[in-house]
Amino acid sequence: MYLTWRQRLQQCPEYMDFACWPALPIPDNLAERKALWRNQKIILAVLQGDLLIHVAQQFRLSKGRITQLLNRCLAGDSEEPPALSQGLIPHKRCETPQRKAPLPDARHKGGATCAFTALLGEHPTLKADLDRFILARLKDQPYAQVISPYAFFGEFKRSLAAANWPQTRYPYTTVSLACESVRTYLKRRTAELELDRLPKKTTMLRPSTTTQQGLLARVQLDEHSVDLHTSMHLLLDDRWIPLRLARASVLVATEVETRAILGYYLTPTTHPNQEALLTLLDRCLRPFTPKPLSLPCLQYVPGSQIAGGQFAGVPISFATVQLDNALIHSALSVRKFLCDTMGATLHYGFPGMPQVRQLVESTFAMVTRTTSKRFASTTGAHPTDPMRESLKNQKKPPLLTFQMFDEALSVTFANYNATPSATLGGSSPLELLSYLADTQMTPYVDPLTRQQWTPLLQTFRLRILWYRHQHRAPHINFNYARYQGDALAAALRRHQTHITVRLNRRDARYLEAISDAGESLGRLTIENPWRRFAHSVFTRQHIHRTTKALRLPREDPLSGLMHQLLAHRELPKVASHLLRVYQEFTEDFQEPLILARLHSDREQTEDHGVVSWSWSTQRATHA
Amino acid sequence: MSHALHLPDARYVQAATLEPHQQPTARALRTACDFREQRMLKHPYISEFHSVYEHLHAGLCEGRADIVSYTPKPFILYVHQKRYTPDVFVLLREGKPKVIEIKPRGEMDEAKRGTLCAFFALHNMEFCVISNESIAAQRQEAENWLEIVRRLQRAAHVDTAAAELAVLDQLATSPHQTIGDWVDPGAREQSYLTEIALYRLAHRGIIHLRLDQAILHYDTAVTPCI
Repeated sequence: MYLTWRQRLQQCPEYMDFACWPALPIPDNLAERKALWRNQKIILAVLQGDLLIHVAQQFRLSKGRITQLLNRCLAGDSEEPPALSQGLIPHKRCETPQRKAPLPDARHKGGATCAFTALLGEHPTLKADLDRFILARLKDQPYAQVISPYAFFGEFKRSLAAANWPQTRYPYTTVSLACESVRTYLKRRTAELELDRLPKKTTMLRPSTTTQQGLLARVQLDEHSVDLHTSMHLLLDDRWIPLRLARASVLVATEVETRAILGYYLTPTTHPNQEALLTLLDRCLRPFTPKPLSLPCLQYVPGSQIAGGQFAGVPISFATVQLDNALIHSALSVRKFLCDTMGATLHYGFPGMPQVRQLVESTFAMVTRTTSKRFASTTGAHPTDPMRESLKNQKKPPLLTFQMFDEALSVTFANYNATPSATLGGSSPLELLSYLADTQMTPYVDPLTRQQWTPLLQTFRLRILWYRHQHRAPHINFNYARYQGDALAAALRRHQTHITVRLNRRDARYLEAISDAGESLGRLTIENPWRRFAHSVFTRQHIHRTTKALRLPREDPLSGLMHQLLAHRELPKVASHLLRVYQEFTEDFQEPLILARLHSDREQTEDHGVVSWSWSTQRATHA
Repeated sequence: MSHALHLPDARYVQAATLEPHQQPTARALRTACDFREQRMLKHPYISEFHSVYEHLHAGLCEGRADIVSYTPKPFILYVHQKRYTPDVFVLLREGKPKVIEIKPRGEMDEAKRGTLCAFFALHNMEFCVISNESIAAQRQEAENWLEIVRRLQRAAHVDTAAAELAVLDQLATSPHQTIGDWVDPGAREQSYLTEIALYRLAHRGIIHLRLDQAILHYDTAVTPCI
């Protein structure tokens, strides 16, 4: 039964309260916003009991227009809910459109409004034929055709002809033969049938898998490639040279119970290695130090910080670490540190199930939303995607430097930790962390144990080699190089055939020798060509792999690598590699880098034989 | 459900050795299952688990004083010429060693089960199947034990002999106490040795911690195991 707006209000008096009507999204268009606001005021006035005539005078409309608006919102079939707020939107179709006039033919010409829907109703087999066409493809039948508008239109015409549909009736009365209606119907109906075919979810009764979890019980770690190019500046012969860097990766550790971010690390490579992951772990275990910010628009919110090291009296430790199946997560160095040293559980999870680690994945969404995707991106669905950086700008290094991006990430993560969240009951991750630290029996780690948690220091047991007949000093072989020192003689005096050494993965020039009794015996130094600069295990492996291919000089492979990278510095990937190697050689931008010129350079430039290199990820910072 | 042993079936099982050593998990399997690993105390190596239930079962084994040690994925067998690796080998303080298979609802192919029972009976071992559901019912206790194992693993170098004696002395005078009576929430550093001593005594089965109800807390009850 059709109800007018008055009858609807009599039947459903709860609609008299406008606050109960569903809220609407605010339109972007100013004209639409104005019209919506006016309609809202009209309805509000009528519901408050004003006479229609007074409302019409107030808004300078006719009484009929007011009634029409009320009917849009409230009138309709008694069995169906009224449009309510939807009726306030100007020009919105509130009822399902239906054709009332007969289908046009040669004698009775008319418009084609809703004619296709009427045709589907009147034709005896058309709807079933079209559905069969789509379903055949969805069920992967051998006779199925590819679902395309062209093939579907062919089936439409075949069905009409098979039923001997009069040539004088719609759709034969139109030039296009309703092809656009057929196309839109195909799109809509395919989606509907696909949805129908989805397997019905059955609720499986599983044993209870949820238990009370404590603070720091679960930590999620992951890495994410940032779709953004950054830049850096190289000071070479008193001249700043800007370079474009390739995509970087950000590694993040998140605590699950409080959603607090424990640490992050930005590395200038798309494929981070185990050292990057160990550096992230190291950062999680060290107290956070705010970065000096170079841009005035970036600032830490008061009280914001990254909850690394010891927060609220709770030393950060890991219980269950949730990771994906990336190879770097299974690295022996990572497993040994987390399982042996920290006693943690590694949980790799099922493949292709990032939902298990949704918290850290949502952190990457935040990084993308707040920082990286606000600049022109490096990827896109299409060469003309508006998100992509234009060819004009691609020729120049980006304005955003690597260091600025690192600062932006630091501010984003620290501020996130201090931002109250509805999910956490209105408290911020740091507040919740402090509260849980006070109320729960969190794992305590004594300072002595905590001192030994150094992910980048690792111990190995190696055999001592001593070629006595050649009158040579004893040595050990490690990672393609030879190490010597007095410590080996001391170990031999104690009748040790093997020795324990401790390696700093960032500086593999030296090894600390430890006796079987646990005493420090001194430092072992690497053979000469590798001694000039601090370098990581990874860099030495890379040099060893590529010595032949890159023709690196054996007498100074480290300088050779720098020269090799410098020669191809225009390539973003090489520039990123250069930054990483420079960071290692200068011990995290602490030491100056002075390289010997290669022979060929010396001949050409007649220089003093040395050249100083300075780099900046943000002009004049590390010069 | 009891199964009648048919010892001649044992000939369908072949094994190179029955010395229990954890069989390393292939990379393909590591990435295909819900893989977990942790260094345990009764299996003092990095132990590998292919499901959450295997991991929880290891936690329960750590908490049982009658279990001396256990080995996940202990040996490779060929049953009817098909490769098979049992889930756990458990060495008990008293009684035959157990070889355990963990299955949903405790369901296993009856023929295979009979063959394995016969084979292990010949070698003076017992084969049994445990259901995932029975382990899930003790989840809270298992997770608490796994947490205790982590804390003990971190404190492996700590000497607690004196603190253990002090705890036992105090328990002898008042047997019903809580962890909070020893561990001061405001000064964890001072009570650290006592806390580790409590865990060690519980792990050895000398005292009992009430871990089946709630998360490990200052209110957790401590009683002597007499």
